[in-house]
Amino acid sequence: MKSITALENIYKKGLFGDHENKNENKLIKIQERKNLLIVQIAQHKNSSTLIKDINIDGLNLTNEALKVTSNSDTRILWCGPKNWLLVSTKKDLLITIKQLLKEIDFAVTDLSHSRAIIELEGENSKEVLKKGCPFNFNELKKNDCVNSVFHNITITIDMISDNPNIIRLFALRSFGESLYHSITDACLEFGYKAI
Amino acid sequence: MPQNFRLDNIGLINRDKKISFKFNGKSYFGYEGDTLASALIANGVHLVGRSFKYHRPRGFFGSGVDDPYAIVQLYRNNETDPNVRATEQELFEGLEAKSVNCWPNVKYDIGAINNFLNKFFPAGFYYKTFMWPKSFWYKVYEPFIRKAAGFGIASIKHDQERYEHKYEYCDLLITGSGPSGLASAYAAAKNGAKVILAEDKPRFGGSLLTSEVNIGNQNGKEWADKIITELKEMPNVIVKNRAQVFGYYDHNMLVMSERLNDHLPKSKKYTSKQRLWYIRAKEVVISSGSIERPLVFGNNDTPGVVLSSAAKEYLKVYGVLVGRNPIIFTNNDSGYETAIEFKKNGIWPIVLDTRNNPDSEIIDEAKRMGINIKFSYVVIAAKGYKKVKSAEIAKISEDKKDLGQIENINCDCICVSGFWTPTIHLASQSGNKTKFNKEIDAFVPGQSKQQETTVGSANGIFTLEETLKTSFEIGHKLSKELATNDNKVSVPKVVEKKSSKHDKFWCVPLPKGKKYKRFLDFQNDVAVTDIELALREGYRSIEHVKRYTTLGMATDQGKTSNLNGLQLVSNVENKIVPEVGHTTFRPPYTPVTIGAIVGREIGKHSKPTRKSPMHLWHEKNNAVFVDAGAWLRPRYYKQGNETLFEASKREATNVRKNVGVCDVTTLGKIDIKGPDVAEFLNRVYTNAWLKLPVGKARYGVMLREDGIVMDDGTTTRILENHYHMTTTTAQAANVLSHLEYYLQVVWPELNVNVVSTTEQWAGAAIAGPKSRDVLQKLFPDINVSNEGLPFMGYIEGNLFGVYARIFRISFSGELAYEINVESDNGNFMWEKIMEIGREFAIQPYGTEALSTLRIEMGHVAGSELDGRTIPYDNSLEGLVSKKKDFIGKRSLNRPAFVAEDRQKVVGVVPIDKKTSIPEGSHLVKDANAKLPNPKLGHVSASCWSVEYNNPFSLAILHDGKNMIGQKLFALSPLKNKSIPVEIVSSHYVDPKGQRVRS
Repeated sequence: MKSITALENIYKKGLFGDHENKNENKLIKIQERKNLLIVQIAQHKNSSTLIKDINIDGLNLTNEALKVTSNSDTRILWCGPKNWLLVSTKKDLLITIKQLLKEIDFAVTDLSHSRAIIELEGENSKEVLKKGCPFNFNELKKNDCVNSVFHNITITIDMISDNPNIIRLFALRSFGESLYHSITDACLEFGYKAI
Repeated sequence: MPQNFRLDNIGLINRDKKISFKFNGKSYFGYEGDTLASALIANGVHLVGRSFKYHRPRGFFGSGVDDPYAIVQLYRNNETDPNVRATEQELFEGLEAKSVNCWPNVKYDIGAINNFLNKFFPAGFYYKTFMWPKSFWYKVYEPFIRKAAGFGIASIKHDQERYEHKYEYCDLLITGSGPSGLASAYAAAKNGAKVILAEDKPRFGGSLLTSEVNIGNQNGKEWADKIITELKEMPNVIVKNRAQVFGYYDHNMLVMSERLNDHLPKSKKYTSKQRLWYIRAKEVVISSGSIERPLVFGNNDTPGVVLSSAAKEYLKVYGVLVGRNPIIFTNNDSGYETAIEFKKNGIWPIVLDTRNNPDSEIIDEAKRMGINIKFSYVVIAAKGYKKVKSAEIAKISEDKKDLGQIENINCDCICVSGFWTPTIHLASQSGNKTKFNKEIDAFVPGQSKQQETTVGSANGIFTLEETLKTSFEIGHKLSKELATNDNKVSVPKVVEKKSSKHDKFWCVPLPKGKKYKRFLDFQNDVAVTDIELALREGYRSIEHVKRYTTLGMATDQGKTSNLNGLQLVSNVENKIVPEVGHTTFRPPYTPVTIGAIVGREIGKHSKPTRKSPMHLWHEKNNAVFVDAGAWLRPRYYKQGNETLFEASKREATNVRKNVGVCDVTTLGKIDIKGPDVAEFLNRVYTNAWLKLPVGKARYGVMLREDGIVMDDGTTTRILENHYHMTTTTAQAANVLSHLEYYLQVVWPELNVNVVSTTEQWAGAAIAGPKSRDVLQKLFPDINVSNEGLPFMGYIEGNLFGVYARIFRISFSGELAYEINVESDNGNFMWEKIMEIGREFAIQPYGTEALSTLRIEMGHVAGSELDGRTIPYDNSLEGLVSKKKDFIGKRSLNRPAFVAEDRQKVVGVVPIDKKTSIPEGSHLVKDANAKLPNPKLGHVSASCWSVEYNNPFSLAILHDGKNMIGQKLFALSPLKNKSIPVEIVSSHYVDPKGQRVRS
C-alpha cells in the first residue's frame, strides 16, 4: 500500500530561484510537513465543561483569540470561539483526545488528510507571504495564528518561531498544488531550498 | 556626434558611463542618469511626437510626470511598451524608442493635414460629425476612429516580464521626497514610527535638487542626501524610489507602482519588472509638491516652449540646455531662478515679466547679473513650426487688455512660468473637500475625510522655511500619536531668497487680426476657442465641459491644463474659480501598466485549481478535464481519436452493461456531530430524519427560506451522534455556510458541530450491473449482497489494509457503491479498483458520461436545481413532509407555488429520434408564431441516451404534469434550430428504480 501526501507528486528538493552566490543559511527553506495529526476540536455551545480543566499532551485549550498553545510535538491553534485545530506529530494522540473529550460536550474530527502543509523558514519568509496575502505580517509573532488567503487560496497561518522565522501554512488539500506553485514562485526572488 | 546642448561640469549624471540608444531609428548617446528626454535634448532632438487631434509637432514641455507631450513607444529586450513618458524613462544601454501618432515619421506626418483643417475639427466635432448617416457608424466611422485613437501600440505578444503585488502596512506613508516629505519622514522615523517614503523619480530630494537654498549649512541636495542616507539605515523605514503612489482608496489604503527594472536593459532574473504595493497606512502625509502652471499665448505648443522649472531641472540635474537663446516668460519669481541658472552657465536669457516692476531679492540678483528683463511684457506667439525660432512679444497694459507694439525677437526656446499648482490629486481621491486659495489661485486640500495630511507646496506653502517647519511638526505630531514616543528633532536653519507676489495674469489676449491657437490642454489639442465654443453651446458644468472638449483627459489627466481651463471658464462665465469647481480626481495619478495590475495572476497562477488525490492517475490515462468550480474533474478519458461524444457514449454504455468507476472526491462532504444532529437535519431537510438508523443513508432535499431548492444529497448515520452529509460539488461551500448560519444564529440551542471533510476523503463511485462483483473482490470479508448491504446501506471495510467507508448509493441509476478512503490513500484505492475491476471490463468514466447516466434516469442536478425551482418542479414533492416544520416550508404555500399548472420536470425526445436538442432551447407550441413566441419551458439538460440510442433531454415545462404525450417545438435561436419534439416522462430509463435495488 502506497499513500501519497498532498504535495508528493509535485514537490522537488533542491535549490531554486536566486540562490547562486548566496549563503545557504540566508535562503528560504521550504518543506512539506507530512504525517501530522490534525484534529478539529469543537466544544458544543451548551457544554458546561470548563476549558481550563482540559489538558491534552500537557497543553490547555486557549481562549485567547488567534493564539497557539504549543510544545515540541503538539500545537493547538485557536480557530474561533470554542473551536481549535490540534496539530501534532503524535499520531496516537487522537485516541487520547477522544477518550478525554466526551461526545456530549465536544465534536472531535480527524482532518489529518484534509490539508496540504507547507513550512517556510528564513528571514524573508514574511516577505514571501506579503506578495499574496493581505494580512499584516509585521504584527505576526511567535505562537500567533490567523486565517487568511494567499493568491485566492484560503490558508491558516501558524507562526511557529520568530527566531528564526518559521511559518506553517495549511491549505485545503485539493489546493495544495496551486499553493505550492504560488509560494515557490514568490520565493524565487530570494532563492529557496526545498528540503 | 557631439552633444550641442550638453554642458560640462554641471548635473548629477555619471559622465563616466556613456549609454547608446536609438530614437526613431537613429543612434545617439547619453549618460547614466539621463532620462530619454534629457538625452534627446542634449543631442539636439526637440521634436518627439505629434499631438492627438491636429498632429501638431510636439517637443518636451515638462521634466517628469507633468509632461503632456513626450509619449513614446519603447522597445526593450524584445518587448514593447506604449505610452512611455520620455521624461520619466531612464536611459539604459540599447534603449530604442519611436515617436507615436505620426506617419510616415515624426518630421513629415500625413496627419498634420488636420492642423490645416482645424476649422473643421472644433470641440465636440465627433458628436456633431459622426451622427449621420447612421449606417456609416460601424463600417466607416468606428474603424477610422479606432485606428486614429490612442498613443502607441500595445504588444500582442505574451509579456515575458514578471509583475508582482505586495501588501504592506505602516504608521506613516509619505508620498514624495521633496523637502516636506523628507522632513516629515525624518521627524516621524526618529520618533519611532514605521514609515514608508515613496518617491516617483530615481533621485530623492524633489525641488532641493534644483533650488539654491541652504539648510543647516548645507545646500539642498547635500541635506537631502544626508537625510535619505540616515532614513535608509533605520529599520523602521522603507525608502522607495521609482515608486509612484497613484491611488488613494477607502480605509487609508493606497496603491503604489514600483518600477524595479524599467531602468535596466533587461530585468534581473527572478525579479519583477514592476511591483504593485497595496499599502494600508495609519496616517498619510501627502508631500507630492506642485506643478508649474503654463502661461497661455499663441502657438504655445510649439516645440521649444517648456516649463521654466523643467528647463532648470534639465540644466541642473542633467547638464542639458533646452535652448541656447532662451526667453523666460513669467508672472512670478520662479522664472528668474531659471534665468539665473542660464546666465551662470554662459547663456544670456531675456526675461519677460508680466508684472510691472516687482521687487525681490532674486530679481535684484538677476538685475545685478545683467540679465535683460522686460517688465509688463508678454509673449504673444511663438513662431516656428517644428521648433521655436522667434517670438512675437509686446508690452501689455496694466489692466492686461491692451497690447503695445509687436516686436519679433529671435529665440530657440520659451520657458514659461505661470506660478504653481499644488498637486492635490491624492488628497482629493481620499475624499478631502478641497478649497480654493485666492493667494495662489489654486485649490488646496481642505477638510480631511480620511487620515491624511498634506504638507509643503502640495498644501500651497511655497517657502522652504515654512515647509520644513510645518513638515517636521506634522511628522512629529503624527508619530507621537502612533508610536507613543516624544523624540523631537530640531528644525534646521534655512537660508532662502524671499519671493515677491505673483501676477494672476495667465492668458495673453490676441492682437487684432491674429488667430493664433492658444492651447490649454497640450495632449488633446484643446484651445481657448474650444472652451469658449463649449460654453457658447450651453455646457455649464465643468465635468461636461471636460468631456465635451476632452480638456484634462488622456494620459496626463490635465496636470498642466486643468487650472487654466477652470480660470477660462470662470472668466467667460463671470464667476470665480471656486464657483466653477474642479473635475473629480480619480486614480491613477499616472498611467499604470496592465501587467502591474494583473501581477502574478497569469497562466497557472491566474486562479487556483483544486485537484483530487487521483488527479495524476487521470492525467496519465488521457483524461480531458473540465472546470467544476475550482475543481478539475475528468470530463472523459480519450481513447485513440475519440471525440467527446464518442468517448462519453462508450463510458456510459460500459456503466450500463458492465461497470465503471468515477472520481467523486469533489462532492461536498460535511461531518456533523453532536447530540442534536437528528433534530438539526429534521429542520434542514424537507423529509423526516428523526428515525434514520445507524448504518443507513437517506436522500434529502434542503430549501432556502423562500422555498426554492438549495441542494440535494445523501446523509448517512455513521454513529449515534455522527452523520456524514454529501452535497453537490458546486454547492458544498454554500451548504456548509447555510448550516453554520442556522446553528449559530437561528438555533443556538442545538448542540451540533459541522465541519467540511471534503478533503479528508477520496471518493470513487463504482456503478453498473457488475459493481457488486468488483466490490466483493475489493472487500472479500464483507457481505455485499442485497441483504448484507442493501440500497442506501452503509458499512465500513478494510481495503487491503486501508480503512474504507462504503455507501450503497447511486447517481447513475445503476447498482452502485461509493467508496471513501482517507485522501493519502485515494490513489491506492483507485488503482486497486482498476486492477480488480479489469476482469469485469471496468472503465473510468468522466462527468460527461455521468451526466448522460443521470439525465436518462431523470435524476435532477444543478441544471434543474437552478435557484428557480421548488421540490414539486423537480418531482421531489414526495420528499416534502406535511407533518413537520423545515426551512422554507411556509414559502411553499405561496399561491404561485401551489398553482395547478405549475412547471415540472419532463423528458423531451425529438420526433425524428436523431436531432440533439441544444440545452437552453425554448419549448413552444408553434415554431412559426409571431415573436415574442410564448415560451412554455426550457430544456435544462441534454444527452444521447445510451439505453435507447437516441437524443434525450430534460426540461422544466409549464404544466408539465399534464403535458406528457404533447408535441411541441424546441427552438434554439442561438443555434438556429427548430426541432419537433415529444414530451415524455423524465424517468426515461428504469422508471421504477429497480436497478439501484437489484
